[in-house]
Order: sequence, then structure tokens, then C-alpha cells
Amino acid sequence: MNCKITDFWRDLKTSPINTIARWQDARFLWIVMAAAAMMLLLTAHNLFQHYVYMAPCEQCVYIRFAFFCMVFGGIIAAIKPSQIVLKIVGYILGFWGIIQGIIYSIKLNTIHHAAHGDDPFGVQGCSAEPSFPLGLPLDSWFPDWFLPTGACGFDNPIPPEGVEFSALQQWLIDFYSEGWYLIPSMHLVNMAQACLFAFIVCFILLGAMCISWIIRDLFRKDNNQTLAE
Amino acid sequence: MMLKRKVGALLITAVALLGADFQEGVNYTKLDQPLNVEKNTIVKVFSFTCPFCYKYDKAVTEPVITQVLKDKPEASFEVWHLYSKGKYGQQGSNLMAVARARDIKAGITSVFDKHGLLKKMKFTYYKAYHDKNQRWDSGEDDFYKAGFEILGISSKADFEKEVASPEVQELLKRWEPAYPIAKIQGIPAFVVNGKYLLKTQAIKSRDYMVELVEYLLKK
Repeated sequence: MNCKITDFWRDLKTSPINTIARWQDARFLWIVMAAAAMMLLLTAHNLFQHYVYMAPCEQCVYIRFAFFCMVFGGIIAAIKPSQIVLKIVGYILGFWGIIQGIIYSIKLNTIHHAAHGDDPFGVQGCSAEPSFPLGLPLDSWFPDWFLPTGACGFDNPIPPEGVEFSALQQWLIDFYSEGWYLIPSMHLVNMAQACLFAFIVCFILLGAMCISWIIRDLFRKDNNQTLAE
Repeated sequence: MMLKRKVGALLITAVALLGADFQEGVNYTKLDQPLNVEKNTIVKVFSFTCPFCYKYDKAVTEPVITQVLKDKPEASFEVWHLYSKGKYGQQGSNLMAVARARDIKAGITSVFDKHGLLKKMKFTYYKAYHDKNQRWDSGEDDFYKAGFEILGISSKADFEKEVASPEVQELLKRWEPAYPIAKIQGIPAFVVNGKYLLKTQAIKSRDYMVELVEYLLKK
């Protein structure tokens, strides 16, 4: 009975905190978090980087790292969400990835504006080489995923010369010729802003899960205490 | 009325603060390992693959440094190409060093001289990389083509001979610390007197940059 979506909604309306807390005790939401982050990563790597030849910039590979933290957080918690240690590791990795991601996205947005505008001031410039959190040499371990090969602040496709592309591939290359935008013709919502939006949505969802869990379990403790008295 | 005066006073203080002493850690970084350069030298580290270097060279570096050299004629300005960045970083450095060595031989001291080969080399590769999106996938020979044309060199053997010459080797050696400098906060990087690295992020305008460089030259 509980599997029905309508029941889920009814539960959520009548006692939201207990319902969300119960959900984060189950695997589903954790798998959703890992899968959503993995899907974005695969889109960036397989579609944009390899198929459309948009080389990743420095902040872009940091953003990938942030999404990977969420993937691992989701997987670890999903092993057994009722196990408190695994769940805490999931929350820590998830929140850490999201917060890092928000910082990187804001920085990328600033760089993007400086790189595309007339005013080059106010940004730090382009790094000589990437530096990942904890000093992880991800760029030498997995260069295909983490070595920034694009110019900082730019993500327009740079297809190799003298290669024939399929119609779809050519269309995508032309469509994003001035870089990735949600609506390229209007230069509306760049990659940094889209990532920022994704991280903020994740932050709200994971935040709701975490807060519901804390509130429910604190109350439960209070209840137990009153019962004991 | 009081409020107006207060706001005015506040603005004056703010302006005074901005114009007043620059601070280590805020406006510039003191290098742990100073560069081995003469006094009054300003060094710029750049790579032709770096979009902000291109942006600075198009609109910032020349007017700023020209102003500084006008105010302080005893100062001198050098540009160091970063060999480690990009697939053809070292090849780029070799081309730039050969161009610069020839300029020096020809008596062209200023890197802004419109007859200078270095200036031509720099902008040729900036434009190829950023405006035409060239990446020279077919290899080194393809990369060298435009550079050889500027230098009037017809074979790679001739070029390699020139790179091996003591003047060019000396320049390449001098540019080597470009890498540790670039690692600190990225490029373009400006170092004054071999000791003070400008905080690029804090640079808000050309005038600010002139003031900061002159302040650090005096330090």
C-alpha cells in the first residue's frame, strides 16, 4: 500500500517531517541523489566533452569533483541507510560536494563574465595547473575526466580539423558554437549558473532530509526520556 | 544635512583608504623565493593559451606599463613565457625566446615596439588559439608553421640550432621560474622587483595597477 505515489503525497502532507525522515531511512532518495549527479557527469563528459568537443575548464573539473562527492555519498548511504555511520558519511559527502560545487560555480560565473566581457579585472586569472581538495592528483590519475584542457572561462566546442561529423554532431557543435547556454541564441543561463541551480536544488533536498531526520530522532529521544520518567 | 555630511565624510575616508597604502596579502604577495632579477624590474608571466593573458595584453599591459615607465624611467619590463602550460607550451617558449633574442640583437629593447618580433609572435599565437580556435592536432610542425614564417626560418633544424644558441638558452633559463610563479595564483602574473607578486584578483582598473606597481617599485 505504501508504495503508491498518492499515499506518499498524503503522508507528506499530514506529517512531512516523519515522512521525509522515513524516506531517508530507505535507499530510494540516496540512489536518486547518486544517479542524478552521475547523469549530469556523464552528460558533461560523454556528450559535451567527447561528442561535441567542449573541453572542460579548470573550474569545470572541480565541479565534476563536487558531483562525484555526491555520487559516492549517495552510494555509501544507499548500502544501508538505516546504518547510522553510513548515513552520516552520505550526508557529509553530499553536503561537502554541494557546498564545494556552489563555491566553484560562483567562481566560474565570475570568470565567465570577465572572460566574455570588456572588463578583465576582478578575477584571479588562469591557473598553471589544477589543485583539487585534499591535494588529490585527480588530473594525473584520471586525465580524461579531471585534466582541464579548455581555456579558463570558455566552453565553446573546438572540433578537430579535417574530420567528418554526423548531422546531429555538427548541429550540436554549431548550436553551442559560442559556448554552453541553456538558450544559446540569447546567451541565457551559462554552464556556471546551470550548475549553481543544480547544486542549490540538491542543497534544499538534502537539507530537508537531514533536518527531518534530526528533528524526528531528537523527538524520539525526548519521548523515550519522558516515558522513562 | 547631518546625514549628508556624514556620508560625505565616510566617502572621503573610503577614498583615502583605497588610495592609501597597499597591503601585503590584500593587494600583493611577498614571494618566499624572490626572483633573481635586477632592481626596478617588472616581470610578466604569460602563456599564449591563457585567455586572460590575451585580454590583458590587448587592453591593459601596454598602457599600464608605458605609464609606469614614463613615471619611473629607471624601471624595465620583461615578459616571460610559461613553458609548462598547454600541449605546445615548450615549443611556444622556444619561439618566443628566439623572437626576443633577435629583438635584443636588433636593439629593440621595448617589448611593445611595433617592429618587435616577440610582440608579433605573441599576438599571432594568441589570435590563432583564442580567435581562430586552432589547436594544431596534427602535430608540432603544424604548430611551428606560423612562428617560422615570422622568423623567416624554413627548416626545423635551423630553428633548433638557433634555440641552442647561448642567447636563446640564456633567455629560456631566465624564464624558468615562470612556473613556480604561475603556480601561486595563476597567470597573467606580474612581479615587481623580483619580490612582490600583484594580486590579480584585486586589480580593479588600469589606474589602480599603475599605482600599485609604482608603490611596489619604491618599496
